[in-house]
Amino acid sequence: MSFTNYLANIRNSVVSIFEGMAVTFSWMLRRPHTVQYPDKVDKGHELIKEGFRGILEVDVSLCTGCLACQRTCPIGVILVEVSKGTERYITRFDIDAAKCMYCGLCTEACPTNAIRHTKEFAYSVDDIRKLVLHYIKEPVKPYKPVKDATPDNFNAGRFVSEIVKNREKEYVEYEAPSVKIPDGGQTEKEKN
Amino acid sequence: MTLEERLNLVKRENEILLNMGPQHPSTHGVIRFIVRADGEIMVEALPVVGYLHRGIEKLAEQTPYTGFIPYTDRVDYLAAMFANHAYVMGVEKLLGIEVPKRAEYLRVIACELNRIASHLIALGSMAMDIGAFTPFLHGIRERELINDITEMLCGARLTYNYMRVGGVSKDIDDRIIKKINDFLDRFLPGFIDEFNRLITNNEILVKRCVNIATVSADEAINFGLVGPNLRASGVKWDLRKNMPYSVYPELKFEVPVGEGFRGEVGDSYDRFVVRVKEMEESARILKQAVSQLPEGEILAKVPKRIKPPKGEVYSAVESARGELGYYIISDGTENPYRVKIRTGSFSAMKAIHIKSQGCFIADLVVLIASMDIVAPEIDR
Ligand code: SF4
Ligand code: SF4
Repeated sequence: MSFTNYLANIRNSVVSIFEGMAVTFSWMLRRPHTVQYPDKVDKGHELIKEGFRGILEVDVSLCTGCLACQRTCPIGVILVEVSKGTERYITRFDIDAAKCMYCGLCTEACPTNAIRHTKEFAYSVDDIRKLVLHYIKEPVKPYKPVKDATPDNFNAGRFVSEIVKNREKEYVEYEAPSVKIPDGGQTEKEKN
Repeated sequence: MTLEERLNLVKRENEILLNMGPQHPSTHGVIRFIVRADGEIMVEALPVVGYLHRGIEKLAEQTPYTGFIPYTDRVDYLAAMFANHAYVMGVEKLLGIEVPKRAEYLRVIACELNRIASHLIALGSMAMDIGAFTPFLHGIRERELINDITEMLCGARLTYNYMRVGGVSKDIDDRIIKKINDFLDRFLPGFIDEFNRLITNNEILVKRCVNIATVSADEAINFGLVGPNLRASGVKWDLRKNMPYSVYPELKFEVPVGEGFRGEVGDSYDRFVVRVKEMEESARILKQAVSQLPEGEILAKVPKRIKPPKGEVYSAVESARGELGYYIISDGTENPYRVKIRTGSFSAMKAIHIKSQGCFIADLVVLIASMDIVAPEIDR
């Protein structure tokens, strides 16, 4: 290596290092891209975008009990029980939020948009069993679909927020409302 | 000193065994390298894979065709869109479905966004492994903007699950198009120039990468290297051009190849620069795709229960890490009979093994990073 080469090398190194430094310094004067979460998020900053696939919620009043979501889920997150009898009742609708991978296949399968994603994402709990969300409190009659109705997804988050808010409470063993079925409906459990 | 001379220097008795990984920040995931070294010079670095094996191929046999799409996200978490794309393309071939034009364009847009995001991480982490931390943060920052776009487009930031058999899951709207255009405006001349000034032309990085682990064109083909690693060796092979799929024939773009930018053709620095140039091309493709986006359906008419006829099919896309292919065998039921996934990172492991022989230990990090391997893609 000749002496001029040697000098050129040194010059190159110094110049390129200072160029890099200049870029870095210029960013000290520009607006940062990060937000101080969770302290400073409410200043018009859209933290979660529209259409985010967050925790699932079910509007049981819209559910037809068709079990399409349960069949579509590739990892068996959803458990729906529908009583057999003169009248059908949905007696259980559980979603294991700890297992769900938020792929969105169940929401696409649902004919009425009863099951849908919310924008909720922060729901850590101290007991993993609390993450099994039970959406049925009382047996409900399946929804009769109206022809040509447009599914409404505008109130997503109505039901899940209540459950997420309750996450501080003690874990209580869930009891499926199997005994309280009106007029002679039979749950799967009783039949067996 | 040639390779032979270096290897001759090593006496077996003097060797030491060194474990790199499975938990090591520079192995890009849980991969283990057993380094046999004599002093600073490696006799070989033997890759041990399998720490991230999740049996995705086996899971496919118990999952319906649609249900397997979320699993393909996990094949390569940095470029999940391509894994989606290759798989649904295979199933569509089996079913003989024609995908609507708009859906094809949306797929291309999603894939090219993902390619930029993946290359940003690859370049950033390569710089970080060498010791420059700042470029990584710059890469992450731009990638965050892409993540915002994909979040609006498909609802997730990493495991997209965007493609469906016969189309895509969600349509694009004006807000997203505006966001993509905003991103491209700041990305193409602005960010790339800044990135080049910040790190690509940095003399320390250049000196650290030039003439390290040079892979010649013949060797690259024999190793089975694909994607940017192959192109950096001077082989102009890009599935988007050579085996056209989707709407790539309608889009104009160049295929950057390694030219020995500062040293030999096919060294680590070439692999770095080829990725930078590929990001520019991706941005160009995006610009065209967004402006040419046709109106129409986004999902073809697909039966609810997908039951392809008996047969087998191979479908491959040019992912950020090269050819990503699915070999799907259908036996006429609702689940695939067999799914085999071919990924680029796995063949790169062989190249790392051969190319590490006679290198310095410190250069192993450069070699691994320049190959842009991703652990879940190796093991599946
Ligand atoms: S989002 Fe996916 S994983 Fe979760 S319940 Fe629905 S189908 Fe199952
Ligand atoms: S939530 Fe939807 S898909 Fe699931 S059972 Fe109810 S109506 Fe059917």
